[in-house]
Amino acid sequence: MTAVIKRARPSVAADPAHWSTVPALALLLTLVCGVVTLALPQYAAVTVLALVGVVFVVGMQSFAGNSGIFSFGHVAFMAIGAYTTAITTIPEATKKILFPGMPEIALPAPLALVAGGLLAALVAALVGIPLMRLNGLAASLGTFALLNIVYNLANNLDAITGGSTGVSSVAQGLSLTHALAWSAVALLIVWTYQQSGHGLALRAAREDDVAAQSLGVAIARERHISFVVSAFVCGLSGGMYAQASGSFSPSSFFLVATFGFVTMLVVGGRLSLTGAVLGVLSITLLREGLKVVEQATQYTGAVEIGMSAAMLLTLLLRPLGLMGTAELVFARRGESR
Amino acid sequence: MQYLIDVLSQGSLYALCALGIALTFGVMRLINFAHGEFMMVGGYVLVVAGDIPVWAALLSSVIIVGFLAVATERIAFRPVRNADPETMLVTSFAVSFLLQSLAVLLFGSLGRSVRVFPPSITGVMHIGGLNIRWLDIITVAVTVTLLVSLMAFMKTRHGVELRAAAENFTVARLLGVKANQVIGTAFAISGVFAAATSIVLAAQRGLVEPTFGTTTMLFAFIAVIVGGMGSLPGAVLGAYALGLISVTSQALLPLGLRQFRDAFIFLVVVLILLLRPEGILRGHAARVRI
Repeated sequence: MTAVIKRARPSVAADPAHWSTVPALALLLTLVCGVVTLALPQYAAVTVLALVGVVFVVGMQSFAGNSGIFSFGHVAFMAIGAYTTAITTIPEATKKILFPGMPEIALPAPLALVAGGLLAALVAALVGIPLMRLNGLAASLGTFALLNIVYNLANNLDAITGGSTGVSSVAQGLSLTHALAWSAVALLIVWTYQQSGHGLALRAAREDDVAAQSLGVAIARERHISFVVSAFVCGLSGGMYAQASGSFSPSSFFLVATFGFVTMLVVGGRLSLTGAVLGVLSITLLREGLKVVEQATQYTGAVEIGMSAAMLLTLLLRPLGLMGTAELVFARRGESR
Repeated sequence: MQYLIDVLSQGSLYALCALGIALTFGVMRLINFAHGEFMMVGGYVLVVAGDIPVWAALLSSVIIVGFLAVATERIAFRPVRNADPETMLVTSFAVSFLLQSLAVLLFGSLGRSVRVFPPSITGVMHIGGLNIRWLDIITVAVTVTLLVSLMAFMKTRHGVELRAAAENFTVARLLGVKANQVIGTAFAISGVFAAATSIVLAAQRGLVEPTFGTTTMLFAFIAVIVGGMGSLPGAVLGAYALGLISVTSQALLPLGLRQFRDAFIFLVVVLILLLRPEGILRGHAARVRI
């Protein structure tokens, strides 16, 4: 007989199932955007990028939160979305001069985003076949390998990606309203998945894989579905990033970005959709605050130190993040959801 | 022959690093992303040490990194010890970035040059048409010395406790192995290995920067996975196998594909994870218990 070791698992009493989570979060984001537009117009660009972050982290949450597996590879899907959008929206004339090797496909901006998401989902569907059969740590490492492979390809397929210098002169057309609308779409997709039978089955497997399996949950298949859904949303965010920033390079989608997004998810709470949104907002706030400090004191590195400290403190003091498993809802006083 | 020397030298470097990672994985299932930053700190100690005698610089590097490793365990990893392995992985990710940004703050993001050994032993020896760098000899010698010491250590009381804890932590505790002590020991040894890796790496590169340890650490991870998680002989085997793969692919891949070497290597990792999730030599810590 081998000794029985019970792995420490996050234990969740009830499932978040209130209808108003998505409207409440959309309202919260709208309020943030309203405040920024009226009072802090110099932060409009930062807010657009924060909304890109919301889409990404919400996408990552739909995999990490429901399956319980930390993914270090989702930034690769963001890269796929960004490159797809860049390739399909850079004007024909510019493309001939700067990137003669790029395929000549042109799409209108919103369709380009969806195309990026679909391509990311396709890649996830393919690489997920082997990867989603892995468990726990091995799966995390597998996604990390995926990140490294995509990074290496983006760096070296010069004809299509522009190599290590990256891509520039993507049409910058992502307004605050657009970004807000896409965030709402992402929230809706992820929430719908979370409420579906597939989401429930996957959460059951997260809590106790053996019990879930004995009840007929095909864990690898459920993980695979979640992986594809989250890849679509993350691909979407990549396209948004391309349209918001106008230029990027392979290193925009590597370790630093991965660390930033993982920090947001951990600090906010990886088991909660609200946590994903709040994580992005609070870390963005922290980052901008520290940037001001950095400029005032001439200490470079304060931002990174603050972010790693925030992540470490969260892991040590509040392992499930700010939100834990709670969600933001509209509820009448006295009504406990 | 030349090829064999390259494989040995490269493999030894990976082995040094991989052993440090495998040690801490064995006792607490922690994949320590911060190991590369332990190496970086070791490199900066050598930079700061500057003109003091070589032995004193090396000794202070080993002591400081060993101390840092133990301190990191106390502050960051002990509180999350009972969390799931993924949470510990993320914690080490955070520690890694914290140390890296501290290095940027203290030393700037540009590299600092360092000369570990006097120029007289950095040259190349020519023996019968072979080019043997002194550095290759030092690398292999350091690895062999540390391996032999580690094997000797494993025979002592603390070593037996460490092996028992890697085998089955709960039972080892029931039999009177002190958890904090055995994990502390593992981290101290892991720190010594990190310092040794940093010395070899600093001598090879002559430059220390905040991302000094990252690449080597990533490859050492692969070695640990390929060899068998938590198995020390497996880590060494995996490291030399990786040295073989990377030197061979450098030599055999056509020029156009050579830049994709890293992608190939990570593809191999995924394949190995699939075919033999527990690695070539199966480590006991990797076995999933219900």
